[in-house]
Amino acid sequence: MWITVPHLTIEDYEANPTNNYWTQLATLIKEKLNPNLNVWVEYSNETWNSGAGFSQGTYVGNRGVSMGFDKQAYTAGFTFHVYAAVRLFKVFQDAFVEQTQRIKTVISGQTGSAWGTQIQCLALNNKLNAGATNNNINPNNLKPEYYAIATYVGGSNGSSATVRADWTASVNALIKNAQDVKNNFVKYNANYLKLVAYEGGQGYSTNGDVFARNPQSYDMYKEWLQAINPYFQLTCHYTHTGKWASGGDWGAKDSTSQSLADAHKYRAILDWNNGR
Amino acid sequence: MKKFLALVLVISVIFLQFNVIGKNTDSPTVRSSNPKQNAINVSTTKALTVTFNETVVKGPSFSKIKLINSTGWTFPAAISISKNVLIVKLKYKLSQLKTYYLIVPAKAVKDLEGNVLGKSYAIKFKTVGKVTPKPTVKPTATPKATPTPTLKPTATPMATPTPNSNVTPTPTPSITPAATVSPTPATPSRMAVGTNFWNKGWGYGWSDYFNSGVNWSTTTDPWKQSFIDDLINAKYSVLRFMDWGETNSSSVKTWNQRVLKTANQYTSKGIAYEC
Repeated sequence: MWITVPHLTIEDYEANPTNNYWTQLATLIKEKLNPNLNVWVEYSNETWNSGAGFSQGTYVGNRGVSMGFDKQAYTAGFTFHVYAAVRLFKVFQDAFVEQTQRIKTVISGQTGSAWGTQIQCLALNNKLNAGATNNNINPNNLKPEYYAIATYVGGSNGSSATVRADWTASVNALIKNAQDVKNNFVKYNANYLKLVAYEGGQGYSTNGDVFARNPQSYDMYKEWLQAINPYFQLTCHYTHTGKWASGGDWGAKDSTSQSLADAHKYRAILDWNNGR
Repeated sequence: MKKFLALVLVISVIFLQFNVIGKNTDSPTVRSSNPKQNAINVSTTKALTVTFNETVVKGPSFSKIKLINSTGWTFPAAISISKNVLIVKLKYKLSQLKTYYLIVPAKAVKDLEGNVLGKSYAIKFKTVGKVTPKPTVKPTATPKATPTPTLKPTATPMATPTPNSNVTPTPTPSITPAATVSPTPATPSRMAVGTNFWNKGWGYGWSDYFNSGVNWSTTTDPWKQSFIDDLINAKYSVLRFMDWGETNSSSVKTWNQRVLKTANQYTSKGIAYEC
């Protein structure tokens, strides 16, 4: 399971580091989850995003600025994400002390922002953008195992006459972004990080349902998976089911009751995961 | 009459003798176990058994019987007794090629006369498994870093998964931009594909996931079988619970604010971790 821990819960941790939302959650999961399964731990979701419906972006920016990580909230937020995440990871690793290999620690960045990756790699090394050292960012020098971005592809219109070519161009741009991220792992002394995707799939904002119903989406999804395969160890599709509509066809399937024959995206994922 | 009294006397003596001589005062002992002590290649799924020399029932330390791994972590198991056999049913599959210990402490069981197990009993065993040889990989040279032209940071996402997201303009970096390295196919094996779940407040809502008519205060399995089948067939390796946790703009700060398992998951804000 991959959990995205609510951003405000860090305040509960700060108020009582030994008994708080994080310690309770870690204990619950350790007690209840099949011990053969791993726990992917992420602090919130898309903390780089301060758009409508993403108050966590504003929160981490403000916290980062107030802690002197940077004057710009956007940059300070990336550092604060690391500050919060490494503390969260430590709580889970302590709770799973005899089985820490089950805890998969994930720092999350933003696709297309090599800057964000740069800032977060610096933060893991207790460095700020201005070059100063701040050993309070990552006091235990914890080395997270994974770094996550998104692997969304596609153009703006899922019914465009050039949808196939647009798709390929978008896939190539994504690969370039992935390579930029990996370059920054090397450049900023965090080359132990393994790249994964917290979300991904088509990202059409118009006529997404047309794309999803197009049988060609099977081939396009296979192209996407094959292209990103060398760069990512994991991609988590967004989402399994989700009602297809023009403004978004996030679901690999429109609904649970949809037939396999009509669910081209789901069929591509299923075939991929089954080695076909 | 004398004969009758004599007969009663004889029967009484025999009865008394039987009671004294036949009284069992011995503690139960272990006759055998499966797996045997120091066994290897033990099944990761089969129940473990300990057979005693007589019928036993739960003793005062029954609850202290445990299956632990080599670091002392207790593995979940359902423990019961059937006549003279203690049965340890695994709740999950054991890990392959790992050492485990079944600990049956003194007084964990007792016989029908109340004689408790005198000494603790432990079985050590190792599970079956295949050792996967590490592939021989030719060492690769450290990628040579090549300076690149000034890299302008960008805050523009490839695409955002939800509408209406926007991003604060990015400041100019004051640090040297990243060098490039040769393309680095990092994954020797095939990339895994997991999935997120859509917010149950959207689209078809909870009906994609849950059976209807669930009693949330008692249910142990509210899931729609076709949903579970889809997950299994797709072999999703990771399930991300971002929207099910209502992570975006969450107001949850403390543990008592979380969604409880007993809440009505059709209408709750998010889905309980325990579901």
